[in-house]
Amino acid sequence: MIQAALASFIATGAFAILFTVRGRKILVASIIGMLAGFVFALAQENGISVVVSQFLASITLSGLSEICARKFKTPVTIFIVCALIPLVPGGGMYFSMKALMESNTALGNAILLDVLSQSGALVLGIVVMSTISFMQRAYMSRR
Amino acid sequence: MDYVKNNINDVLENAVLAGKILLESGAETYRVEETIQRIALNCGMDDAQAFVLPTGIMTTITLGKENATKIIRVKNRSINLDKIDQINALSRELMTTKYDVETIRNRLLLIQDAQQYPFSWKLLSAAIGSGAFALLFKGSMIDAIISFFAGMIVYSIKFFADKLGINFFIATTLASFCSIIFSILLTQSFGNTDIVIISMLMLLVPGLVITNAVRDSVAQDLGAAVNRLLETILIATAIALGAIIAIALAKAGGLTL
Repeated sequence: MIQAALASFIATGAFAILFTVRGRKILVASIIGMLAGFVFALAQENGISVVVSQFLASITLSGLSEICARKFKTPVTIFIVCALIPLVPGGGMYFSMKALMESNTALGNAILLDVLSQSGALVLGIVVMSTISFMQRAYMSRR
Repeated sequence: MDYVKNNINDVLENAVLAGKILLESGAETYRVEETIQRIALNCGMDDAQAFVLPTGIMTTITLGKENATKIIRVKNRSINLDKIDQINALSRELMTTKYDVETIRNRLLLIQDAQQYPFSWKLLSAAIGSGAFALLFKGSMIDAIISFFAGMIVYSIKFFADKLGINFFIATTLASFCSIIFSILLTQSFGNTDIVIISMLMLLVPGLVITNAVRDSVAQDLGAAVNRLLETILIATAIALGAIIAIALAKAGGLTL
C-alpha cells in the first residue's frame, strides 16, 4: 500500500515534468497522484472490486484536482492529466492482448471487458466531478 | 474610420494567436473558445464567436457593422501545460483590467516562446516514471532498474520520431515495437518481462487526450470529443500493434517471454 502510494507519487511527478508543469504545481500534482494511488490500494486491500476501487480513486483524484485548481488559480487539467496516468489499466490491456495473441479468446475477452469497465469507472469519476465544477461555475456567473 | 478597421484586425490577430497557442499546447475546446471571446471583448469589440475543433480555429469578431473573420489550421500539437497555465493567468487578468492591443500581443509572443524543460530532464523523468511504474505493478527492484532504461529508449524514440515529423500512429508503433524488443532481450536471464513491458508502455498512454475527450463531452463540445476519442483509440491500437509485432518476432526467434 505504501509502495503503491510512493510509486504513484514518483510517477505523477515524472509525468508533470514530461508535460512541462512548473514550480510547486509539480509537488501538488504528485501529492494528488499519491492520494489517488493510496485510495485505490486501500480499497483493493479491503476486498472492494477493481471497478469500484477505480471509481473511488478517480473521484478522489478529480475532486482534489478541482479544489487545488481553484486554490492555485490554474487550469484543472494540469493536475488531472498527470495524476490520471498511474490509474490507467495498462497492465490489463497488455495481458488481454497477449492472451488474444495466444488464441486464448475466452481469457482475452474476459480481461478486455474488465479493462473497459475499469476505464469506464475512471472516466465516470472525472465526468461526475467536472459536471459539478461546470455547474458551480455557471451558478457563480449567473449571480 | 480607418483606425477602427485597423483595430478590429489587430484584435482578431491577438485572439487567434492566443487560441492557437492554447490548442497547440493541448487545452480543452471550451477554454480556447472562452479565451478568444474574452480577449476580443476586453479590447472593446461588440461580439466574438469562435468555433474550435482539435485541428482548427474559426473566429468572427464584430464591431458595429464591421465583421472580421479568420480561419486557421492547427497542425503540430504537443503537450505543454505551462503555456496553458500562463494564458489562463493572462485571461484572468483581462477580466479585471483593460490592456491595449500592443501589450496583449507582446505578452502572447512571450508565452509562445516560453522555454520547455531541456531534453535531458525529460528523458530522466521518463526513465524515473517508468521505473516507478514497475514498483507500482508490484515488480522487484531489478524490474524497476530495467524499466528505467527501457523508459529512456521508448521516450527517445518517440521524441525523435515526432521531431522528424512522422505521424503519431507510426511513431507510437515504432516506439512500442523497438522498446519491447529491447526489454525482451534485457529480461532473458533475470527480471519479469511482463512487468517491464507494461511499465514502459505506460509512457505512451494518451492521458491528456483521454482527459480532454471527457471534459469536452461534459462541456458538450461533441465534435471535438469524438475527434479526441478516435485519437485515443488510434494511439491504443498503435501501441498494441507494435507490441504484437515485437512479441511475434521474439517468439519466432525462440526467445523466452
